[in-house]
Amino acid sequence: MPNYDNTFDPLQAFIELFTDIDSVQDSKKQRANLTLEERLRAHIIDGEKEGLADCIDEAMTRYPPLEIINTHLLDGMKTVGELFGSGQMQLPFVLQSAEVMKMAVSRLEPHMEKAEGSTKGSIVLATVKGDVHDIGKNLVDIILTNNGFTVHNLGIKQPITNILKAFRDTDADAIGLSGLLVKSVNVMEDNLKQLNDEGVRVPVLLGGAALTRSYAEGYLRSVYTGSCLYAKDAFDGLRIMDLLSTDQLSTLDEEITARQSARSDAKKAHDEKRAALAPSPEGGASSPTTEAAAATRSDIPRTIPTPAPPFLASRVVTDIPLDSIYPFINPTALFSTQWQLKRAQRTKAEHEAYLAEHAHPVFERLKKQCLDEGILQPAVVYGYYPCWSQGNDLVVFDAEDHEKEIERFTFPRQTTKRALCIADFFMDERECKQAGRKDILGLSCVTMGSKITDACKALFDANDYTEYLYMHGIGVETAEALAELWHKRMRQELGFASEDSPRIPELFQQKYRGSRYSFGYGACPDMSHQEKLWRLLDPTRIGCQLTENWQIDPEQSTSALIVHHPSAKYFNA
Amino acid sequence: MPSPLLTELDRRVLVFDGAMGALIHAIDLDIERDYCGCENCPDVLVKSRPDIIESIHEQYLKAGADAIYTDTFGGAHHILGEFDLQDETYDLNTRAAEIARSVADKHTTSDKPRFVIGSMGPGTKLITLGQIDWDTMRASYAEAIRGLIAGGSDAIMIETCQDLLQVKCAVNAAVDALDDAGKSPDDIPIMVSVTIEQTGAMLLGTSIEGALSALRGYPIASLGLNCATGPTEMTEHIHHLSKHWDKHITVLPNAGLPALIDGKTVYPLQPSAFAEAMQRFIERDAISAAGGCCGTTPEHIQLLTDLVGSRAPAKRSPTPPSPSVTSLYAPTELRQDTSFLIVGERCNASGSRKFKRLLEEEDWDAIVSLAREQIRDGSHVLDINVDYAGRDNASDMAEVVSRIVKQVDAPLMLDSTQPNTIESGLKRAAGKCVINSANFEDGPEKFDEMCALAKRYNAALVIGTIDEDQDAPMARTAERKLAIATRAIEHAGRRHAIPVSNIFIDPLVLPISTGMDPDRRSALELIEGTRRIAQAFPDVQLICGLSNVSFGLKPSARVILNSVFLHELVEAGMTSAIVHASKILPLNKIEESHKLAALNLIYDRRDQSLGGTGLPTPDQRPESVAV
Repeated sequence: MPNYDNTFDPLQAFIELFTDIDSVQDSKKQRANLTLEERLRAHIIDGEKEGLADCIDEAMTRYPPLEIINTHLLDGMKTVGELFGSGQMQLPFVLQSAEVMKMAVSRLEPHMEKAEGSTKGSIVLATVKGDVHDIGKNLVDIILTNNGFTVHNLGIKQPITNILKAFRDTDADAIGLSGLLVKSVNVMEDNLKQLNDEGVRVPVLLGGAALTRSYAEGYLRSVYTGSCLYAKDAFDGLRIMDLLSTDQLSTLDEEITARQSARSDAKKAHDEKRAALAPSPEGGASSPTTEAAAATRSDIPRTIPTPAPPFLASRVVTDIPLDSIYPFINPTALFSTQWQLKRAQRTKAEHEAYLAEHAHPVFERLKKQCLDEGILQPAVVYGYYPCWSQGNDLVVFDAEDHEKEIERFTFPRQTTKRALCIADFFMDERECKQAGRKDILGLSCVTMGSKITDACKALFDANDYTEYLYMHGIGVETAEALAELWHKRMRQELGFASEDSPRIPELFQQKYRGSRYSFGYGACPDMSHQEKLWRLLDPTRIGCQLTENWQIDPEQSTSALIVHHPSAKYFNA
Repeated sequence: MPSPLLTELDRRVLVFDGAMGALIHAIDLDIERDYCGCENCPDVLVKSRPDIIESIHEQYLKAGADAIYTDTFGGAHHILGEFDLQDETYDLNTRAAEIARSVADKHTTSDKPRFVIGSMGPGTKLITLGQIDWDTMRASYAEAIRGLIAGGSDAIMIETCQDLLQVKCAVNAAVDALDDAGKSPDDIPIMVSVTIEQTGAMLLGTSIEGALSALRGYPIASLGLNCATGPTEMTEHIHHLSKHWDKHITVLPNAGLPALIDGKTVYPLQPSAFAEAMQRFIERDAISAAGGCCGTTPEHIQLLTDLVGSRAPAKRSPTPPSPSVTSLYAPTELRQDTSFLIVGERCNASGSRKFKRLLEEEDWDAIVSLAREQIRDGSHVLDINVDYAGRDNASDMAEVVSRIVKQVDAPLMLDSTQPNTIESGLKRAAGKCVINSANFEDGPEKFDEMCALAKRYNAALVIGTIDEDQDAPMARTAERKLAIATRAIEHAGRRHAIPVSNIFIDPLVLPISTGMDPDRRSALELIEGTRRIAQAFPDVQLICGLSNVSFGLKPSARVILNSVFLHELVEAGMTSAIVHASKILPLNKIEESHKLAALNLIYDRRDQSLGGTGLPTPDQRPESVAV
């Protein structure tokens, strides 16, 4: 064991650790110590073929073949899927595992009782065009085949023409489409439409990691004129095929309808709750200005009374005590994201103890250091502008001449879900005219100044890497904290800070009225909008410049749109 | 002057003409008198029987076609050479364009301009199969295209393409010829139309996805389909283009699939059915131009014209495919959903003793097997490096690439310090390759040379973070890695218009296994450099030659160190690595104590007094998990 003192050399320690190890393939625990059940699993997870046959043969003395597959081997495959999904296992190893799975099944197959008589039904199975992932699909094949169905497994990357041809050639009872890639969901949608065009109405089973039940049942099902069914896994697929083959499709339909209405009830309840929280709209029911807007605009409640801003145009504030900012630092973001002190395998209590020992003292020390040495130089430029929305655009008017358009932001609209778009949180022209005033847009840009950047650089150059990481993190998170603090200040100025959660940590979860959107995130991904914000606020007054790709220099700065609408929260467009 | 054809294509759907060959064959022509002794060479008729060609153009224009194709399908120098007519290449093409021009001008009115499209067929020699070489083909097409331009063509149409490499070569030839005429593709657009067989792929196996990804980035105004099948069989391919191709789409199908009736080839699709099928493309897929290929007649075009009228192209909003490289067959996305882009390292004369030996023995088949084996092991892309002092590297590159391209379905990364070795590979690889690599070590000139290759052959480009610094050209600190990456990305973007997503930054893996103080921080500087580059340029690709980190350690230790290091790099934003795929272990297969020991080494957890980042905390010590 090495001495952990100033003689410790991690290179030497590493080399010594491997002095007697010539192959790391067997550095894992020996399989021999495991129980039979554990060994079955381990063969699959490790993709280990050697000794598999003996292991399977031994298992057959204790369990029927189908149970070996369904209980033990598939359990291993499930773990493989989880490791793969969490990025701990790369594709080549997944393929090895699948290969071992196939070997195991083919050894068991001769010993399995075939379902009596002829086949229970048949299915054409394929991974859709453009997708090469077939492990899940092959499992479906194994399960269905072993349970008496005939499976025409076409393989990967199958264009719909091939699937159609196989369906017509075999006169199958169902088609099963699988895919892992996100884009495969769109391919499935296209395929369903093409089946419609060809007049095919056979039941289609959809599955694979790309899909969710709510999307499949909420949307894809409506695309297809025949029956479209979601199978969560191979066993779900088997259940569907069993019901199909016994003419019980209606059972499935009823289940789906029940799930769908439960879902829409939940959504309705949610929306009603939301509406109840919102102040009641003035001037009766709102109606959009144009036909086009009516078609696209989301169901956001309209004509929320516009709060009165204390001033229009922008102001610079530099005299902000650090002590007032520190309480708004989000410790989770600082410790976990910036300092990379992740919880990993620790329990929550262990992790808290760990942070108390390793993180909090550093945090306190750095806060003091920044204060004493003036490393952080907070400054804010913020403002309020008259505005209205026009479709997906937010039109900003001059602070003096409220009729003069000076900037226009165009935001993306969700194509699914609620079709949200930031513009929807503002009154449109007609609504503004009816209210007799324009809506209000808030803007802010905050910075911690350039001294923190210099301080980080000095640490890095001095090879003080750990300290560098800590200091850099403090800078970034204090800038975030100032943005949070100033957002609160603006809510106070607009007169609705009383709706804030009294607990600061809950502010990080947007427990307040309205929202703060930064460019480059989900609701407004287009970074080039920074230029417009720059023209409106001129953050060069607090020393902030825009780089070519619209990042802010110095780095410890952040900018945002401040939206007062009670329904405004984070979303992805 | 901006191209009038492009202006019109933006304004309304255009109708192109139909088949020419069948109309010619329907006329009883004398081989000696009319064909000048060149049987089956309709290109010569523009000289011997211009009246016939004029009358065919006339028929299509009267039927309403907005554009007619010149009678130059076989007009390239190497094709005419088969009839001993190679010396007339320029004249025949000029003449053909002039004839079409004069007839088209005669029918042009102020609200219906007529256009001349200079046709360039695929010829009889397949370049990917080595039946002709790049330089010969490029010169051959360029000569013909110079004639087409001189004769007054409004566009150059590289059509009926069967081989992607031929398309790339012909596009280069067209750019050459336009350059010679002092023009650009904005003045006279270059158009490409590929032929997808009934198999669902081009003759040499390229899917429409592969063609789209490999050709995206070239200065072409349109991509479309013609020949081989009728409209129905084209449905899925056109639909794909409609969704993902962000420029014009042209569709010129045959009049259905041919049947042999009474010893004669008959195309079954009647004009009305043909026009109806085309209507779906116009309405559903928002194509820009529709016309006909084999079996279509002036009657087909007449009905098509009636149906199209003067409608504007339908609206569509294509989403370009995610950045990819391609094999001869299909694309591979540069960002893998659930993995990193694995580049197989073993076909490398400087890195693999086995490959070096196979190269010495010129055992090409074994080299192909080695390439295949890497794909089986999970590699997505293959690195090919034949740099070997004393051998003809360009010729070795040609030999290896031309074999692997056909036999292995994987995009290639051509790896050399010498531009001519890389170009030798690029001239033989049909798909979209990666060039490995450019850097600033010898100043911007050589960097520019590699960028120019990337542009000409539409390849992605690896850039190493090395610059002119006399003492330490290789970037060792995160800061310098980011600084050089920034300079490189901006230089390649501004000077050469290479999009950032087409660039791989290689922030350099340096060994941490030497025990020398300056090397101790190599790994953590790389991790931090990777993080910063990924943050500053979210669209850039990041790549590294992983195994260098553990240089000199024993193999079992290398596997562990490489695997753990790769995991840290991927977390920091590394998108790709050049590795021996089967020698990377997933973390779950690595003993926790081994992993901790590797992390201590990677993050240089020596005492701070020695310049380390601080001793391992108790739970970072291998003993904490040892059984």
